Amino acid sequence: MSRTVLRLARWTERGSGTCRSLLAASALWSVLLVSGIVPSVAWAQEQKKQPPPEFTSGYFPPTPTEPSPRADTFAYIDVALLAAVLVLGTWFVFKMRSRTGVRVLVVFSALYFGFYRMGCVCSIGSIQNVALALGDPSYRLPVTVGAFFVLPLVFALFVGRIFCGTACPLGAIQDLVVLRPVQTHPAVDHTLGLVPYLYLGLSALLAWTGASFLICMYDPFIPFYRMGGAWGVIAFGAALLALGTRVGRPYCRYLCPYGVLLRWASALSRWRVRITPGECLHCHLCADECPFGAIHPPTPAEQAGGRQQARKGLIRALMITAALVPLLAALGYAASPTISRTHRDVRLAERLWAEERGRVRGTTDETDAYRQLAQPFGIAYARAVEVRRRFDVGSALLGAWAGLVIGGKLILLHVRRRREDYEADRASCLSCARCYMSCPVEHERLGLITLE
Amino acid sequence: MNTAPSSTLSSGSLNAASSEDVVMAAAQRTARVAVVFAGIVLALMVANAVASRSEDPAKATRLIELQHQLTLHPGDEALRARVRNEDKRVRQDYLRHRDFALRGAWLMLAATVVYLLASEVVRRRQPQLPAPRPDAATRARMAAEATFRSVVTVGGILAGTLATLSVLARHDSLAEYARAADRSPARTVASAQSARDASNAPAPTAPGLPIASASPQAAGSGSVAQPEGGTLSGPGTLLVPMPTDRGAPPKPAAAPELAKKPAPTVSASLAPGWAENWPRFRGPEGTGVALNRKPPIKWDGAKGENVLWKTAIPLPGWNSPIVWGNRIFLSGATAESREVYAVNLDTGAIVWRTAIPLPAGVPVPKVQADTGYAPSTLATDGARICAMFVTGDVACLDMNGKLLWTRSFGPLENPYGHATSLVIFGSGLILQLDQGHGDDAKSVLMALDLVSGKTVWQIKRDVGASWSTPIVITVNGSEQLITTASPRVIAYDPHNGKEIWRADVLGGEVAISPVFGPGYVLVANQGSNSAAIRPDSAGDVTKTAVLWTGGDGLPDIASPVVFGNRMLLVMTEGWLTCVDITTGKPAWDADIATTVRSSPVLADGRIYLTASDGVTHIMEAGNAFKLLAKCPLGEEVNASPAFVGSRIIIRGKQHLYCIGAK
Repeated sequence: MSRTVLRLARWTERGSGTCRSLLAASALWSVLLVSGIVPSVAWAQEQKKQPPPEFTSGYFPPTPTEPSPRADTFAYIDVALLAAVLVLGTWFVFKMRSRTGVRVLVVFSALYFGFYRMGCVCSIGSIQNVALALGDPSYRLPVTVGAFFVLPLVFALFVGRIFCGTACPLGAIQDLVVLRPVQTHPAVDHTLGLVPYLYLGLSALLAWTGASFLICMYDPFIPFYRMGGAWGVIAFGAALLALGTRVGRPYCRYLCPYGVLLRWASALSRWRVRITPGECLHCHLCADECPFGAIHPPTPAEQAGGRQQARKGLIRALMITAALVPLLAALGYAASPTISRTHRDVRLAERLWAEERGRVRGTTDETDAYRQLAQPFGIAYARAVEVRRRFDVGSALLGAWAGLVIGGKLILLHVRRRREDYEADRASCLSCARCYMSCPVEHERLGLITLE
Repeated sequence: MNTAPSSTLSSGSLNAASSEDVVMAAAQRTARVAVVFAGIVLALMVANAVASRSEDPAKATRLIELQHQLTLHPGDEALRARVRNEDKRVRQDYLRHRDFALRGAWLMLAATVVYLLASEVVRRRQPQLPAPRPDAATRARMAAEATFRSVVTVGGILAGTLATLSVLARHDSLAEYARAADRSPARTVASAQSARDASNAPAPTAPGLPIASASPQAAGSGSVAQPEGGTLSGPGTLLVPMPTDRGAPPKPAAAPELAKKPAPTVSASLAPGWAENWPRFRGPEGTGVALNRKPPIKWDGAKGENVLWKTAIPLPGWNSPIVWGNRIFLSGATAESREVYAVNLDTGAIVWRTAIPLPAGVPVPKVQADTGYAPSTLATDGARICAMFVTGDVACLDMNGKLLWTRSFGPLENPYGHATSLVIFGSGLILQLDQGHGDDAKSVLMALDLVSGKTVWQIKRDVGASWSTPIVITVNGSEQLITTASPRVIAYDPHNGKEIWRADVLGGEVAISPVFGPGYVLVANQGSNSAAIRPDSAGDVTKTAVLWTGGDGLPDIASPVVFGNRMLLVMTEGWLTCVDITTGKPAWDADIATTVRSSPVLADGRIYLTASDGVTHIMEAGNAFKLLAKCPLGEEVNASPAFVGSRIIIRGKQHLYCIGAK
């Protein structure tokens, strides 16, 4: 900790006084922004929860009515628009090489899929529907949800993450706030890049067991599109947007579980973004321009003993992986009782059990409601035991998955890839088309400059 | 000449530099001022938030206190005005604080914009030169090492997190439940499933209707267990006398063997599937509420419309059908013979019928025709079926009709014949054997072990003969067995029979079973009162926990049903009174002008009330009387119907009907 502070102090000493003051002000500003605006807006949203006056005033609250469900036609229109955006995005990125076109699509996606459709249905959340359909035979996956899940992946298999760059409403809102991005350190990028894998595993587990749709519950940008939400989520979203002004698309890179699937599909893609239309000049301008750290430089010449060192590192990574996978699987299984408490049936049964045995005082709304149902406690217990069994399996798998992810990252660190030029990483590139105009060769192609 | 331009240039450069400095300084100061301003706004907003917390309308203690005072003095207009003023003040304060917070948020937002603009100006005017960096190979190696370390650290943190969650999992209630279930076969899902399988077992292959004899020889599969020394010759055999002080609640009496430690208790568990089936009189909880059912709303017995099947029952009986799995159970009896029947829910075929032998030397009491010899409804836990007859004989059978054990408690001193139905609570069979006049210490409440038939606990009751059936409710996590008789309602701990509370609110010949509404035990009986009693007190609560007593529409045979905060009372003459549970006042009443002895059932938002002429009146469970349909059966009905899934099982005088959409 002290070393970190020392490094920070040295770094700040190197900067000018203005930079220091700006740094301090930025930190202070983030605190003020999150702690001031967000709770206030959230509090204002809570006004509807206040109880109505208890006196008869002649006014009778209107009878609540259920809005009629949205017609299926509109759902298919959503799918058609998604497909259209993906096709247009592919056209703009690969054929036109137009950042402006991509910008237009980003704005459209934010307006339509974000503000108009309020972020639902979205491909990211559709992971949970798919997981639930796999875990619960009585749940039928809606065709449109399935389409939202599959379409971006199919496009990614051919042309990479066009969805992230053009159609995703969560990506769009972040893309619009990228003001002055900085390059994150590779260690930070790799480490935080593990989080989406873990988040994917956890959210799939919770959806598969029917516990909750975690991704939707904690979607940080939906409250902005819907103009309201839980204050904690709003604060989270605001913090991410504030961070996103300096670190490009933090949610997409360090949280998005669907991004994991897109990474896999994109890594196998038939075509990929080609930064320069001609010969790479190794000018580094494209890598500086990319706010997402998705452009890798040419691999440096191998140093003496480098190969042997890499082999040792690989063996070490394999050994760690071999130990980590069963360890985390066992710990996941042991943690299953706690993880399963995310499921309402388990919480209810445990509370009923505690109340039944006098371990807690009083009752909760949930246990009161259960008693009103006039069902015996045994039903709740048996149901919870069934849920627990699923969690036992799922938690162990989650632990093993986490071990594989971490181990896989360690292994990949020691796998050497050769690059002659600056290249957009197939898996990480979000197809935003920012890098094109940073390339002098592209300028020459457009007739803006002449290279000697 | 030459200096002038130079001087001009120099002056211009200086002016430009000076201008740059001024802009730079202004931008820096603006950014700082924006931050300071936001800090001040934030401080004010924090103070505002703290102040507003104490004035939340939902938690305003002074307002709540005034409201409480108003409930005690509803006619105090001055107090009412004070409550209104306080309510208004609290709301105004709340809204003021909220507006303040919103204004603060806007100011913060404005300061944000100013800060961003100012800092952008500063950044543009002070570009940083790139610092020299290590060579590419060194950078790549350093980055890989740092990544390796941080990824391994993440692995460690994750393992630590899971280990912490594992530690937090040490208090595992579900594991406790599973262990308890393993110890108690009736609790496990697997055993419940096997019980269900047993209940769904195919009918015996013997031609015709197989009759399982009570005699061991005829049964051909072992002997019928007779509890060793557990047969009560009558309530008079209880060794612990009743307290002589009639004013004080009687202390729970225990049989000598029950005084040994540890005291035997009844396990609280209920078999899975309890709620889906119809395991006792008036449904799973005995309150006439059929949850998650979708019964039909139209049928005609004479025309066969929506009558899935109709089966003649060999021996008469007014007991109501119960259902578990795809079996319907009921009994029939005459002065000479008694039988228990299992009927296939899907086909109506009698799967088995078991004769229950009459105990030798016990005279059969004379009973009235509308009581019959089998008025008590059976009960099942999915593994056993228990039946009781007017003679006071109890029989327990397995799901295939094999007689497991019998007990005899007769003759019971009852002017119309004992008609209280059976209740199963966990591993025990609860018997409410009320008889006599109340001051002769003859009534008794007891629990028998379902497996062996032995007495688990028994307690004397200072009440007279009754015909009502108790219910089990849960109050603050503890079960209570609610009994009604003349002159009181008494709640017991069903585990051990200890009395919890009593309320003297009843009188007359009590045949109405209690129900449980939104927080209150609700009772009614002709010749006395209807009443709502809060069940969370102890001792004699007649003066402390009775919310109200009423005298409208008091029933004498059919038990009430609760929906929302309404209780429907049904008089035998067909007069319906819907009582507001919060006040005890009638909300509406109606006359359906027909004789009703069957108890109403709430299902799918409707009330099903079958009259003695076989016509079921289907009403909306609402704030006003609204008859939705009248469905005739074409046969006299006095039993209460059973509701399972989308079907209704109605027992007529001679036939059993299954009603459902064809």
